[in-house]
Amino acid sequence: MNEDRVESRIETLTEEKRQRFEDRLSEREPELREEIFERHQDDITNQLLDDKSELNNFNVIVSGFRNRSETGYRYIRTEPFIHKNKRNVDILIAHPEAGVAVLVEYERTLASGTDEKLEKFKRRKEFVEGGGDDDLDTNEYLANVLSTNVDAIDYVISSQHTPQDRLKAAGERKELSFCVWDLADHGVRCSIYYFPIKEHKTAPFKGHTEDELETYIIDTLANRVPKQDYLAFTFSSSKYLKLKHMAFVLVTRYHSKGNETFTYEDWENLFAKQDVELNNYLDQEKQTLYQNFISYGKECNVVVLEEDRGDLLKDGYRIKSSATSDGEKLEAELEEKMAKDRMGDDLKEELLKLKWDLLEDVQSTGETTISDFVDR
Amino acid sequence: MASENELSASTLDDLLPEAKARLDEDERGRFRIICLSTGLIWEKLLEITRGYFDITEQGDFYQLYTTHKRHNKKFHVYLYLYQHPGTESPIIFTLNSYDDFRRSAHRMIKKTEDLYTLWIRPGETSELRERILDKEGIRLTGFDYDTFGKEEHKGERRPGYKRSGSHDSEDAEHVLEEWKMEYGIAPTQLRFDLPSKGQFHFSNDGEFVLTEGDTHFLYEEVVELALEKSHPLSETVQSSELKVSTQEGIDEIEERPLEMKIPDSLDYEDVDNLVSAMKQDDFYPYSYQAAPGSLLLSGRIMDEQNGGMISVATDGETMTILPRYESGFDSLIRFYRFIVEQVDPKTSIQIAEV
Repeated sequence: MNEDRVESRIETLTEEKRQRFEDRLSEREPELREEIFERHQDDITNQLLDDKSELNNFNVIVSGFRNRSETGYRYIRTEPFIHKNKRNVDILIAHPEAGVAVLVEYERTLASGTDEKLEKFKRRKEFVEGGGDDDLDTNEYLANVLSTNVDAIDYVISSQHTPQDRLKAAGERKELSFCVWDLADHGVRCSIYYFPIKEHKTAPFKGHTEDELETYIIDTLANRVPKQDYLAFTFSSSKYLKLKHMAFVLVTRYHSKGNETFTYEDWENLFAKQDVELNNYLDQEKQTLYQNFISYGKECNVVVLEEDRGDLLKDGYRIKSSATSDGEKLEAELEEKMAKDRMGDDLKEELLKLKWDLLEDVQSTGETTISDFVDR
Repeated sequence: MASENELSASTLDDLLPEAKARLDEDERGRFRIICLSTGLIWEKLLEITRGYFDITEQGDFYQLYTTHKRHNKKFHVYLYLYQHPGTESPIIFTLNSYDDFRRSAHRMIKKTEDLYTLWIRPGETSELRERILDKEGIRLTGFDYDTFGKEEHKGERRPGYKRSGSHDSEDAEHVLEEWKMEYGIAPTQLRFDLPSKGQFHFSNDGEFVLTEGDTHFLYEEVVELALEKSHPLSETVQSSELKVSTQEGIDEIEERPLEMKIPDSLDYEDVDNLVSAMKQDDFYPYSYQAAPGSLLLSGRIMDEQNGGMISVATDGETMTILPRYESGFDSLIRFYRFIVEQVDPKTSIQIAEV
């Protein structure tokens, strides 16, 4: 079944049958569109919820390490090594003066799929321990981000579900030593507990490189610190979340102030300088993120090119929206545009199938065919 | 044509008697003092004002002039912008009507980030009323009222009803006390009479209006007192911020969140009501997560009046808020006001310990 075949079959219909076909199609098509649209809208909503839930846990970690007086360890950024997609880690914490970096990976749960998750974590750890590869020198990367050389790296796996015995057994199976942070969210406050896992009972591994970090976690973080919604997206959040948040903020915080078009610099100013999402990201990473945002935004008819200067970073863009001060309408419009874009291929395919089925129906009327016995 | 509402004084000492003379001439005249609070530097405020008014420097004032039309009649609006020396708060003096003010400056205040009318909290309104009534011979003659708080039924009689309205009587002071107890109402405007000094009223929106009498009295004894009581809140809220500073090549988060304590705490069951009340008040909870159990809510709220964005985290009893993407303090104070009026009037606010 392809479009040409369907079209040629339509052409061969008698006037009467053709009319019947058209009638039934115009009756069924809107329903089909609606049905597919809703399915895609639900998929996007669910993806956004998943993103939010992950970010909420990232925010527990950021809350614990945003510039606190008790320790030199602080939150640096999300997703270091991001341009090596499979090797990126979720969060980088560091004590730059002491030359220590802490790479934190987040998992929704460590109570299931523990071995697979540790295996994946182990590969990332080994990648960094080996200094990266030809494409990415991890030591150079960290030195770049932290403006200093790193002498030691701690490896942490974090989750709200961290069954200690299970992790201990899995750690021994995988011959992996690492630190575990158990995250807890209490709404306005949050806490982090800590324990080390050794690759085997007699391994010399003691947990975090410095006592200062252990003391800070045990004395301060375990006793709850204020929590805030710092990050609204990261590099690897879904494209839906990134487009929605960036467009929403650009409309409310930029266009509504009378600015007609934005460039990379304006975008960077919002997300990397005024606020925290892209703090300590490298220029190349920010630019890639921006390119993806523009390209997906254009695809969804959310972003439009207004001033072509022949350079994506210098071009002037605008967020196309009919709502500016009505937040609910703006959010709904953005989600609707993404759902419409997403449903494109599905719609085409299912519309074709519908036409085919209707043709079968119409052509069979008057003659007894198999389809008369099919329960429709 | 010079309007009857134009004032020529160039100092406050001259403006107050000039306004009084106008009031004496015109029985229907009113003298209005509107207190504002702003986080903007004075020059920036003037620049924004220029987008809405013709402005001329006039001694210690800036004359803001505009016109508007109603029923095909042209109205000339003259507002006199003054900077209060003690608090540096902007104050507007005018002989124009509230409607004229609403159609001109009010629009500007609503849309401009970091500019808000001086909000007098319910507790401060009570204190102000007591301080004013302490003065010899002064009487409360009437009030407008509303019910604040989540359940609106702190009163003894038929709790659960929202109540609003206006009352005037010789014994208004007693009525107010009784209704507070019985019906849980809170005054939003108070009207006073002071023999030989005149009649005036003020609202919790920082508007002080003299219908007749002594302009000096209104300014010095009432407005100054209100500023003294309510300006500290604006200062606290204005000091809240989130910014990114770069130290030794590393971006670091610097923040001063505000912390609200809500005695009549929020439960998970309150979320739907809270969200719909927010929308009514031009706040849109654009991205939030609510977890069942006690109320654990975190996310972002958009201020639909000026495009501001704040982040919120709460467990139902404590709520912390932070301005995002350099949003103005007015979104924060308006949100705090929303919590006070819709959730619990006893909600306190302070800079959070971080």
